[in-house]
Order: sequence, then structure tokens, then C-alpha cells
Amino acid sequence: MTKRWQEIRRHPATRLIVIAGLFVVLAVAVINSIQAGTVDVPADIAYKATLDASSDYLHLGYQSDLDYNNRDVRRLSALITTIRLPRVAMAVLVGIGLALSGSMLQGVLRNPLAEPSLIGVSSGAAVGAVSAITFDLSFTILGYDLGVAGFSFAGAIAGTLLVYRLAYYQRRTNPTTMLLVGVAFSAISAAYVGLMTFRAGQEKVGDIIFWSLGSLGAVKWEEVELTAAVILTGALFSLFMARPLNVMALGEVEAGYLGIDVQRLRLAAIILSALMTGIGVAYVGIIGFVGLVVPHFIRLLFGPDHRLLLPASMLGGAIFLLEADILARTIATTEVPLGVVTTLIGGPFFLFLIWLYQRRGV
Amino acid sequence: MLEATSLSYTINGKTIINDVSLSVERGEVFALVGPNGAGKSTLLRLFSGELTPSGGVITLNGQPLGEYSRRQLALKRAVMAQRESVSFDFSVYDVVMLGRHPHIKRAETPHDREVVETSLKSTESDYLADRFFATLSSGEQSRVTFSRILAQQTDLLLLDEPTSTLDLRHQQLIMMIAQSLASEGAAIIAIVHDLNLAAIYADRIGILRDGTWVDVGTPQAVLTEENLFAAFNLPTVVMPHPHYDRPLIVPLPLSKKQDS
Repeated sequence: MTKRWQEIRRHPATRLIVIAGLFVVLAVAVINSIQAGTVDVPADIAYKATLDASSDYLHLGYQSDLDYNNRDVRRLSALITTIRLPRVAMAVLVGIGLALSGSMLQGVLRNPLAEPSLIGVSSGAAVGAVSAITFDLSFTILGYDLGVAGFSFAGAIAGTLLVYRLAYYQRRTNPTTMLLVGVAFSAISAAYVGLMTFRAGQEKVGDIIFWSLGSLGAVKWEEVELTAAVILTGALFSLFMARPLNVMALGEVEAGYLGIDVQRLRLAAIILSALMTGIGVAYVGIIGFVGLVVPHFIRLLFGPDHRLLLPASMLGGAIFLLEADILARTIATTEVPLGVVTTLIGGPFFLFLIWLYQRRGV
Repeated sequence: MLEATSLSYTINGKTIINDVSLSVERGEVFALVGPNGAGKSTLLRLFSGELTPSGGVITLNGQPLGEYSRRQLALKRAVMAQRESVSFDFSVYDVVMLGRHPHIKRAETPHDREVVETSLKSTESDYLADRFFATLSSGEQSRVTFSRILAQQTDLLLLDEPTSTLDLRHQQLIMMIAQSLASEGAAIIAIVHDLNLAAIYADRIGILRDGTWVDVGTPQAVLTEENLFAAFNLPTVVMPHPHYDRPLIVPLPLSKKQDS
């Protein structure tokens, strides 16, 4: 790597430019995603109707020049507000949550393999969701009907706490133990899901498979609101962790010498990841590889500094999930499950990244 | 500056440090020597506050170590551990900048960048600044880590074998930097395996064996054939150094008789 490039990479302005650039890409992806589907929406209607809907939602009093007396415009605008927008918003939020969790976990556990699904979140969520589906469990809190989603979220949190507890020994968590416990736990949960699928009747098998493969279809606004509250809060908190996460790169003991409370940082990152991934998985099911591929790709492009990595991962995750969802909707005549698309793209892409790393000799 | 009184450290029923006392003042380079497994690194980790002693007290500037917060300690003492592995592609410059962490409130200032550059220059490592830390040789990594310790700008430096992977020139360079920091008012405690390096640069030397002192004092007083045999179970010849008023140690091969 040349000296000039390193200097540019280091410059604080670079961070702003990269983040601004990713914002632009995200905006384009959002518009594309609103346009795409069984009904094609023209770009100008897509973005004007989105602005109107957003301004209406936030009471900004803005009104575009769209002619809502036109029947076609009214129909498309209704389609956008009730179906496309919640879906897009959910894709953005879940993408942020998964990719950000991956970055944080890799940094705090000092392991490039760390990923939300490897610390018990997804396994716990699967056990919760599948139990709820097979045994028809549900409960209601504050008017929210929390059936599958509620049990999935509870399972995600319980799974993470269990993995964390099992890896905790002599007042510290060993990252390697944590990942090993996570792998075992995910195998056990897969076996449980297998057993339940085997035992369940026709119609429930469909539900289980549909949930396990992940989908952004039929997302409701109230679900988006709840998810936004959790993930955006988590995202905000994570930004305070950027510098301590950089120090963690030196090693657990060294970070301690430099004033970092390693155990507390670890717990904070794990809890935030569990909450953000847990809520996402609860509503849209298992979405693989986002938490692994996005952070590694961002690191390869812009370096490992968490002050850039964390926000860039959020935006990158949102872009990745939006594009994957567009593909899921348009690649075939019927919708392909989103989790299948992300893994089919993310998996080979991850192999490509490994190949790139080897070439570079790092 | 650092005062330890009858320290002991026991873990899993095994006593690693047994009744060790030491007082190191500003302006002093103190070398810790001794055979493998003597407890040198454990002692250093006790001094750093990373480990809590099973018995005894350590005070830093008169205040017990346990009363400092992590960040306060990070501003008072820097620790160089034996080997450092940096995860991900952090550049050498980034790594040394991490040494500034306790000083930085929000973002690094031009002053921080100046300190990083000076620290890298002083260890003759500035030409490595844009390399990835992980791709350096172990000797280069050690110099960079030492630069990071310098960038932390503390009055107490705890160094675990800072010179063991370095070439001849850089061994001398690192010890010279330690000496000049001491002359500016810092206190240095360094684990050193090369007794001749310790003899020249240390103001005092402590020989540790089985978790207790064999002897503590000036190089001339401590580095004797008897002490060294007691510590290392190895015959040596100790003679006056041709250039300095310090001892020169020549290790001899083990004889069959002494080996048994």
C-alpha cells in the first residue's frame, strides 16, 4: 500500500466523504427498491410519493407537485405507502442491525469469524420462533400481538445470554470459548428445528420453512416502528464504542493497560448485537451472511478504523439488504426467500474476499 | 514512585511471588533478571495493576494501586508486554496512535500526531509508519510497540523483555531511550535477559528466582559469580568492563558435575 493512500485513508475528511458517498448510494437503492416489484413505479412518482409520505408521517408540512386526483397516481402512492415503504424501511433497519452487529462482535471478540448467528442470537431466535409456530404460542404486551416475533426475540436474547454465561469463566469471557459454545448451540438448535419440522403438520412445515428462509414480505408499519426504536438506539450507542474497539485490536490485556474496561465493552457489544439482531430476526426471519460479508468488505475498502467501519457497515448493510431484496422480488416470477438470496450472494462473495486477502498476503 | 511491600501472589495453590518488596524512584532504571519461570512477568503484571496481589501492598505515588481508575492508571504507567499481536489491518501509525488513547478526549489533535511521529523517529521506525503492523518482523513489531509505549507519555514504564527480539544496534538504542527517559524523571522497570545490557544501563538490578529476591542492588554489587550461579545454576566469569565502570558477564558452558 502506498504512502499517499495511507495518508488519504487517515485523513478525517475521508471519513465524511465515504459516509456521504454511501448515503447517496443508499438513497439510490431506496428509490430502486420502491420502484421494483410486480408493478413498476416510475422513478419520479417513487421519490415524490416517498417524500410526501415521510413528510406526512413526520408532520413536516411538505407537499410535492404530485397530482393525487389522478387515479393511477393515487393507486401507486397507496402501494408505496402501505407495501413498498415499510418493506424498504425494514430492509434498511435490519441491514443496519446485522452488519453493525457483525463489525462490533468481530472487533470486541478480536475474531474475524464472529457474527450475530455465532453468538447464539439466531439459534435462540430459531428455537423461539419454531416453538411458537408448532405449539401456537402467543402473548400480547401493550396491545402488540407478539406471537412468533415475540418468542423469536425472547429466544434470541435468552440464547445469547446462555452462550455468554457458558463462556464466562474466572470473571472474563474467552472469545474462542464463546464462538465454540455458539457453534455447538447453533447445531443443537438446528437439530431442534429439524425435529419440529419433521413432527409438524403440512401447513406448519410451510410456516417454519418460510420463517427460516427469511422474508421482508408483509411487513407492517407498527413492526417497523418497534424495530426502528431498537436498532437506531443501538446504532447510536455503538458510535461511542468506536475508539475503545480500535484499542481492542492491540489485545485484551493491552487494551486494559490503556484504560479500557474490556469485560464491560464486551458485554455492551454483545447485548447491543443481541437486541438489534434479535428484533430483526424476529420480524423477518433468518438472514444469513450480512453480518459477516459487509464488515469484511468495508474493512477491505476503507481500513479497520471503527470510527469509519461502524457507520460504513451500517450503510453498507442497508444497501446490501435492499439490493438483495430487489433481487429476491424480481429474479423469478414468484418471490425468492431473502435469506436464500443473501446467502447465495454473500457466501461466494465472502470466498472471493478470502481469495483477495490471500493475494494481498495479509 | 512505585513501592511494593511484601508482595505475594498465589494462583491455583501455587505461589508465584513470595514476599517481594521493592521501591523504585523517579530517575531510575531498574532491571529485573532471573531464570525462566522465576516470576518476573508476574511481578511486572502485579506492578501494572493487571493482577491483584494475594498479599502485600503496592502504591504508586503514595496511593494504593487499587484506588486508581483504569484511565488514571493509563495516564500514569505504560506497559509493554512480551509479544503483541494486532488484529485486522491496522497500520504502524494507527497502532502508535492507539498509545495516545488515554490522552485523547474526542479526536486526535496535531499534538497527538506530533507525539506519534517523534516516538516512531526515536526508535528509528518512522519509515515503517504506513506498513501494516501484522506484516512486520518480530523485531520491527517490538520497536513499534515500544514507540506506542513512548507515545503514552507516562512517568512509569514497565517493560517485559523490550530488547529480546532486537538486533544489536536496536538493543542499545532502546536501553538508551529508557536511560534518557529516566534522566528526565521517569522510572523504568524492565525485564532483561541480556545481563550485559542490564549491567550497563540499569541503575539497580534485582535477581529473582522462585518468586523471591536472590539479591537487589547496583550492578557491581549484584552481578557476582556466586549470585549468578545461585540464580541460573550456571557458571559465569564476571570481569570489569573494558570501557565502563560496570561488570562484564561471560557465561560458561554447563559442566557435567554442576548439571546434576
